[in-house]
Amino acid sequence: MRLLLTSATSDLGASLVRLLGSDHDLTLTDLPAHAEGNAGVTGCELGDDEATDRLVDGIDAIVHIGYGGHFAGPSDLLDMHTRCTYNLLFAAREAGVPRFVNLSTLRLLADYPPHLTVTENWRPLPEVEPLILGAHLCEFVCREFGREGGIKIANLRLGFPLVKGDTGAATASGESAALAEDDLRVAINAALVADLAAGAESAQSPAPLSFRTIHVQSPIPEPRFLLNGAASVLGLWERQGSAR
Amino acid sequence: MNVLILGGNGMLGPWVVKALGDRHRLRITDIGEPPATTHEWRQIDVSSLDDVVDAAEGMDAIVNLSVLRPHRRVAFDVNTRGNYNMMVAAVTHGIQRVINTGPHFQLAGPGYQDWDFDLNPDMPPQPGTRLYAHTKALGQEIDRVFTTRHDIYLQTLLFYHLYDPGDVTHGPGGGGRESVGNDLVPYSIAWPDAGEAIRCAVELPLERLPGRAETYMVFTDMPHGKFSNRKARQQLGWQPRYHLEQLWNK
Ligand SMILES: NC(=O)c1ccc[n+]([C@@H]2O[C@H](COP(=O)([O-])OP(=O)(O)OC[C@H]3O[C@@H](n4cnc5c(N)ncnc54)[C@H](O)[C@@H]3O)[C@@H](O)[C@H]2O)c1
Repeated sequence: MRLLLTSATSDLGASLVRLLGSDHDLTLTDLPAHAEGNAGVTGCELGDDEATDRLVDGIDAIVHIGYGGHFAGPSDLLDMHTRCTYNLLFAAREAGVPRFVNLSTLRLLADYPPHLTVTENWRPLPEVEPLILGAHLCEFVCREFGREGGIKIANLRLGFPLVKGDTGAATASGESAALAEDDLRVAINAALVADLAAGAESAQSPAPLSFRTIHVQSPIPEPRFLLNGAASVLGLWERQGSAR
Repeated sequence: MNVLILGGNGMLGPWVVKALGDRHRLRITDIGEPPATTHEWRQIDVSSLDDVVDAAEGMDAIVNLSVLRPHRRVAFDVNTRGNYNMMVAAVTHGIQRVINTGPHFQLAGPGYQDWDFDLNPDMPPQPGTRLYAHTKALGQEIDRVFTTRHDIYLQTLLFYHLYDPGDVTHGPGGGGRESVGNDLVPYSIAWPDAGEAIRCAVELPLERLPGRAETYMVFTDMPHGKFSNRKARQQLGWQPRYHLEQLWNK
């Protein structure tokens, strides 16, 4: 697939380039200030203009970093996660890009005590701290585009921390919400082609759901977050990653 | 009460100033030029965090009337980040009372309005992607999140079509689009009643609020049953004086 990756020079972006590079034809973009001096990264402000239109032209899917990209002041963070995301989705929908994967964070649910069976059906509890608030607002923007249709949006809430290696490495980290890079790669690849309406109430409707939130952490023993959505929508980790 | 008004120069601002003016000490602000007023006035940009935090010093309440509708960048700056700045200002100065405003479709977007009746302010927002609705809804969500983490009481008043009660033929439709006897948007109000609703929100004892984020649909009593203004009447204690019946009688 021809994938566009945003915030490509961030730490998470660099990991994704490594993880997805051999599976896909990647187009990398970042804000001009970050792209400068990085060969192969197209600088783009993600404004309401032709530069954004050009960026999405001919793209099969966009992988957008909705949390954990660059650190910045509150204004810039909120701007990236609201306006820039809106502009990108707007341009993508206009250009007929069929699919969008937003990478959000399970930190939005971190306030629930660990003994609870937290799934995609639990309401996020964002903080006002701009990184987390930004992730929450980014999801809000995606959800409204998803509501209207015209582009399919998978909203993956990623576990934390991200650890190099496979599920075993996530287990070894001792972090109950850890996500191994190998698992992230598998989840993104699944989200790029998944039937987002799978198992949803509207699955049989002529206009099924085009937005879905899916929790993605490694299927370690006793995981912090249940992986029901990953199993039903992405077809991953069936009967793994449950409390018992 | 010391009340900071953001975006006070617009269409609604003067009606709010009129309703509050004799009862409270106002600090009116806007990005535009100073209006003719006897109240304290400051020119500020709500998209500047420093401007808003400075302006909120010494205030007991903030009323946000600022809005920018058409331009993509500025709409996000004013309607979304302006709210973030307002809430940071409230936290900074310990201001408990925040009043936000917006259009009804930041909540009751096309997914509701095209289908249902008895639409009410406690529904979850479905603004869709229309710029004005979307950016305002994001601002509102920022405000709501702040109330979950800080001791701030947010009241949001949603309006739509506004009329001069003296001449309803010069309503928002302009040139008689919503002409006498031809029905009107079933979410309409007269300007003085809108100002009065804001006064009610400013003066409502905070202990009477059931939650820290309360939203009201504010429009006059109308027979359509499309939207409900019950909460504005019951909780705010607001009563419309003008019923615009010329527009919903043949
Ligand atoms: N007028 C209507 O028909 C209507 C309908 C529904 C809802 N509303 C809501 O009522 C509120 C008031 O609307 P209005 O009709 O008075 O709008 P308006 O456009 O007449 O006034 C908005 C004011 O905000 C100011 N403003 C814009 N950018 C600013 C910035 N960066 N910093 C500071 N001030 C800035 C403008 O200068 C203007 O004076 C808004 O929340 C609006 O969404 C109005």
